[in-house]
Amino acid sequence: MSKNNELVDDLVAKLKRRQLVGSSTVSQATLKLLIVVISKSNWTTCNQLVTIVKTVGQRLVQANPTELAVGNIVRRVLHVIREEFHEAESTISHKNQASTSEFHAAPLTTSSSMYNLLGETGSTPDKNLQFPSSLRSNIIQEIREIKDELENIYDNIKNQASLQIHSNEIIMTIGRSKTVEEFLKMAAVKRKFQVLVAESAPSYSGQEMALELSKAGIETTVIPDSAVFAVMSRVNKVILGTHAVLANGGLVAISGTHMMAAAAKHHSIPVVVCTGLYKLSPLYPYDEDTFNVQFNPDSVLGFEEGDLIDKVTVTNPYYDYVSPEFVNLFITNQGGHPPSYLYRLIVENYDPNDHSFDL
Amino acid sequence: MDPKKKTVGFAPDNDVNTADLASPGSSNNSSTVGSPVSALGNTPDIGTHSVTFSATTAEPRTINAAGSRSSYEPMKSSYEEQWGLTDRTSSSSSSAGKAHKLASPREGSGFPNSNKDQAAGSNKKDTKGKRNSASSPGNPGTSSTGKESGSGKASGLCIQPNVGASSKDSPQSGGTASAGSTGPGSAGGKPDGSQKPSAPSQKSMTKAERRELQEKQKAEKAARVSAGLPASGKKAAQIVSQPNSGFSPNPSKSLATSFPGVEAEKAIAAAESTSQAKRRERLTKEIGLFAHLDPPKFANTASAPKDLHPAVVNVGLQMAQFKICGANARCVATLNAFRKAIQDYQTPPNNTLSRHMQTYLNPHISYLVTCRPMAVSMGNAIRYLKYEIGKNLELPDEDARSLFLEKIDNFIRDRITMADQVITSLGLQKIQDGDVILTYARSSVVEGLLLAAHAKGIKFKVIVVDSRPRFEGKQLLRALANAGVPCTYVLLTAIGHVMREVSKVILGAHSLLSNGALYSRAGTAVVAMSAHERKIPVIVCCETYKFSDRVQLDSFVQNEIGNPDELVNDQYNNYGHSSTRYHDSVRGSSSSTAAATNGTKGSGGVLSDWKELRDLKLLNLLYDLTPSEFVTVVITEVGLIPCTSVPVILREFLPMMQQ
Repeated sequence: MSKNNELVDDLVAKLKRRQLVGSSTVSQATLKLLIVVISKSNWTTCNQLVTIVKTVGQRLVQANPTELAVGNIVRRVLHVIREEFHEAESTISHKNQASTSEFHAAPLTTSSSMYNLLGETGSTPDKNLQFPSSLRSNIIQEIREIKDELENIYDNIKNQASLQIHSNEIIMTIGRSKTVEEFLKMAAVKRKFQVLVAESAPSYSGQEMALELSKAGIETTVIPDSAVFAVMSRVNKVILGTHAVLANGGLVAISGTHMMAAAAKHHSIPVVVCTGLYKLSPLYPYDEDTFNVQFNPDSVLGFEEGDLIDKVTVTNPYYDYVSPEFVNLFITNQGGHPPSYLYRLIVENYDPNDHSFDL
Repeated sequence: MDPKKKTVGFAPDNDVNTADLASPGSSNNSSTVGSPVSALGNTPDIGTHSVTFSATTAEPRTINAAGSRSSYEPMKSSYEEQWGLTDRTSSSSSSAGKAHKLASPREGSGFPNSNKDQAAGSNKKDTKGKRNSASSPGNPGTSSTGKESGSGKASGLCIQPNVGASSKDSPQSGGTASAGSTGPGSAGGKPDGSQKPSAPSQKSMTKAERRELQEKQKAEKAARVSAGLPASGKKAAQIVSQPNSGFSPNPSKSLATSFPGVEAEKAIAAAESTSQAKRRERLTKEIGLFAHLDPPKFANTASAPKDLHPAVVNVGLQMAQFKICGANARCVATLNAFRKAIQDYQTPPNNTLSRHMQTYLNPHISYLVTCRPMAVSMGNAIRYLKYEIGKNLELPDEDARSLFLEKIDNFIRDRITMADQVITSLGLQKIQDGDVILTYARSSVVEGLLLAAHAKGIKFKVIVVDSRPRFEGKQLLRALANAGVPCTYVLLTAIGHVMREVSKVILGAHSLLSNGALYSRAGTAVVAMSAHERKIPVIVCCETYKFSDRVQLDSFVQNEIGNPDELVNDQYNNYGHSSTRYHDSVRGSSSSTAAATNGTKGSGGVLSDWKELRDLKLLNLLYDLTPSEFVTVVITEVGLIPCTSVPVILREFLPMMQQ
C-alpha cells in the first residue's frame, strides 16, 4: 500500500508542477498508475475497490483540475470495475439460482439504457458473495484494453481522414494538435489539399504545426490570428483539435478556437473536431471559465515594457470555451458523431455514479 | 536558391532610420548611385561611391541616363530580387573593398554574371553568352562578337581570374567594358582580352576562390537588381548595351538579333529557363488566393525618378517601413510633403505653375505608390488636390501656389483635424460611467476619443485587444495607461474570453466602402463578429474623407500583403513583445541582435528557415473586411449614421469635398 501511495504522490506532484501536461500523456500516466493500484491493493468487494480508485482519482483530479482527461480515465476504469463485478455477480447468482429464475434480462449496460427499462434494474450486491480469483486479472485485462485503445487512438482517427477530406480542399486549423496533425498527414497520403494554420498567439503553437505539416509535404500557410476572418470565406473545412470535450458537446480548446469557430459559423463552414474519446468528459460547463486557466501574461506583455506593466491588467487565458452549436462533427476513435450524440457516448463509457469523485 | 540570400530578410542595416532620411540615399549605399536622390545631392554619397566616380568620371551623366531609364521599368520586383537587394547591403561592403571597380551598380549591371546561372550548372553556355553581351556593347548588335564568343570555355570564363586573385589591383575587365559601354560611343574600357591568358577554368579554382566568386557575383546581381535591371546578367547587359532603345519588352528576342546561330539559341534558352525558374520560385512562395496582390514592398529609393522632392522621398520611405502608419497619419504626412514640394517648386521656363503642377506631382504620387499601396485616405486627398489644381489653371504662379498651399492646409484642418474633434464630441455622448470599452489595435480617432472621455471625468474601463505582427495596440495602451485610464491588454485569441464583460466596442477604420463594409486593420472583423455574436454594440469612428466609392465583398480582391518575415519573429526572436521589428527583447537579446543583423538564420525561431521548406508559406495580411451587419453605428463628423449610409454621404458630400 505504501508503495502505491508513493506512486500516487509522484504523479500528483508531476501534475501539480505541470511536468505532465497534455491530455494524451496524463491519461496514459493515470492509466498506468491505476493498473498498479488495482493489482497491488487489497480488496474483496466492488465497493472497496471503487473507493480505492476514487480516492486516488480524487487526488489526481485535484492536483490539476484542468486536465480533464485524468478524471475521464479514472471514470473509465471505475466503469470497467463496476461492469466486471456485475458480470461476476450475475454468473454466481445465475449458478446459485440455477433454473429458478424465469426471466432475467441480460444486463448489457449498467444503467439508463433502454434495454434495462423493462428488465430488472440489477440486484443489490450481495455482501456474502465470493468472487472468483480470476476477477482481479479480468479487471486488469479490461483496463489493458483501455490502454491499447489509448495507444491506437491516432490510428483509429486518422483512418477516417480520407472520408472527410476531398481533393483540393482548403482546410483551416489553429494551434498544434497531435490528433489533427496525424489526421491531416494521413489525408495527405491520398489527397492533395492546402492547410491554413493560425498561429494562436501567444503560444504560437500553430507555427510548429505548420512546420510539421509542411515537412510532410502538405501545402501549408501560416496566418496570424487576425487574418482568420479574412480568409475564412475560402476555407472548405475547419478542423480543430481540442483539450477536452464536455458533456454538452462544448470544447475546451486552445485560445483562439472560439474565434475561429465563430468565424466559420458566420461563413457556414463546417467545423470538424478530431478527438480521442478519452477527452470526452461527463462534466458540464456551468460557467465558461470553469475549465479555463490563466497563464503567465509575460508572453502577452513582457516586463521590458517597464512601468506600463504596473498600470495595466494583462490576461492570458490558455483555453477557450467553444459552445456545441459551433461544432458540426466530432471525429473520435469510434467514428464520427454529431455533438448531439455525445451524451450517448458518455452514458456508454462512464457510470453516472462516478461523475464526481465524492465518496 | 542560396539559403543565405533568402534568410537575410529585413536586415536592420537596410533600415533607414530618421537620421538617415536627411539624405535618403546614404543608407542605401551602392544602390542609390545614379538614383535621383543621390543625384540631388551627390556629396553625401562618399564612402564606396567616391571610388566609383573617380573610376568612371568620364561618363557620369550617361550612367545616370541609363539609370533613369531603367527606373521607369515597371516595379515588378519579385521576392527573390528583394532578398537579393537586402543581401547587397551585407555583401557589397566586402566586395567594394576588394574590387574597387565594382562600386557602381551601373557598371556591375553590365557585368555578366549570374549566381543562379552558375548554380544551374549551365556554366559554359551562359558565360559565353555573357561574355558576348559584355563585349558587344562597344559594338552593339554586331554578329561578329557573337561568333567570337564561340572561342571556347576559357574565354567564356574570362571574368574569373581577378576574383580568384582577389587583389585590389586587378581590374574587372567585364565591369569596365560594360561601364564604358553605357555611353554609346565611349572608349569602351579595357579590352577584356587582356585578362584571357591568366584565366583559369573554374574547375581549377580552389573552393575558397569559387566561394569568393559567388559572393562577388551575388553582390553584382544585387546591384543590378537595385538598379532596376533584370537580375540576369545577360539581360542587364543587353539593356545597358542599348541605352537608346530603352527597355526591350522582349529581351530574348532582341538577344536573338545580336547573336545569330546556335549560340544565340542556347543563350535564349538559358535566359528563358532562368527566368522561368525564377518565376516558379517566386510563385511557390506566393499565396494562391492572393497572387493578384502586389508582393510586399521595401524601402528603396533606387528605382525612384530622379527629380522627386526630398520631403516626398522621405515620407515614402517612412511609409514603406511603417514608421508612418495609419490612414490619418499617412494622409497628413503626404499632404505636408506635397505642401513642401509645392512650396519649393520652381516653374520651368515656358510653363505656368498651375499647368505644370500636375505633371510635376504625378511622379511623386507614383513614387508613393511604389513605396506602399496608397491608402484610401491618401487617394481621396490627392484626388482633391488634383481637382483644385485642375480648377485653377489660369491663376498667376504665386497666387496659384498660395492657393494650393491654403487648400492643403484647409483640407487637413477641415477634413481631418476638425472632423476628429467633432467625432470626439459626438462619441463622448456614447461613453457612460461604468462602461467597459473594447478596442482593437490603434486608431488615432479612438485614442483621442478615449482620452477625451477620461479627461471629461467619465469612469470607464478599456480593453485593448492586439495582434501580431505589429502590436499597434501597445501604443494605444501606453497612451491610455499614462493618462490613467484603467486598461486591460489581451491578444486577439482571448477575444471570446474578454468579450463577456464588454459593454461597447469602439473601432477605427481605414476606410468605409460604399456597400457599408468596414475596411480596417486585419483582425477588426473578428472583434466585430465576436461583439455582434454577444449583441454588443460596435461603434466605428471614421472621418468622411475616408469613405470610398469602392465596393468589396471579401478581403481578397483588394488588400495589402505585408512582409511575411514579420511573422517569423516568434518567441525566440522577440516573444511578441516588441511593437517594432528590431526591438531586442530582454531574453536572448544578443542572439536576436545577431539574428537581426545577419538575417534570421540561427535565431532559433520555429519558422526561421521557412523559405527552405517548399510547402511552407507565410501570409501577412494587413487589412480585412468587416461586413456591414456587424457594425451598429458609424460616428462621422456629419453625425451618427448606419454604415450603409456611406454611398448617401458620398453623394451628398462629394460636391462639398471638391469645392
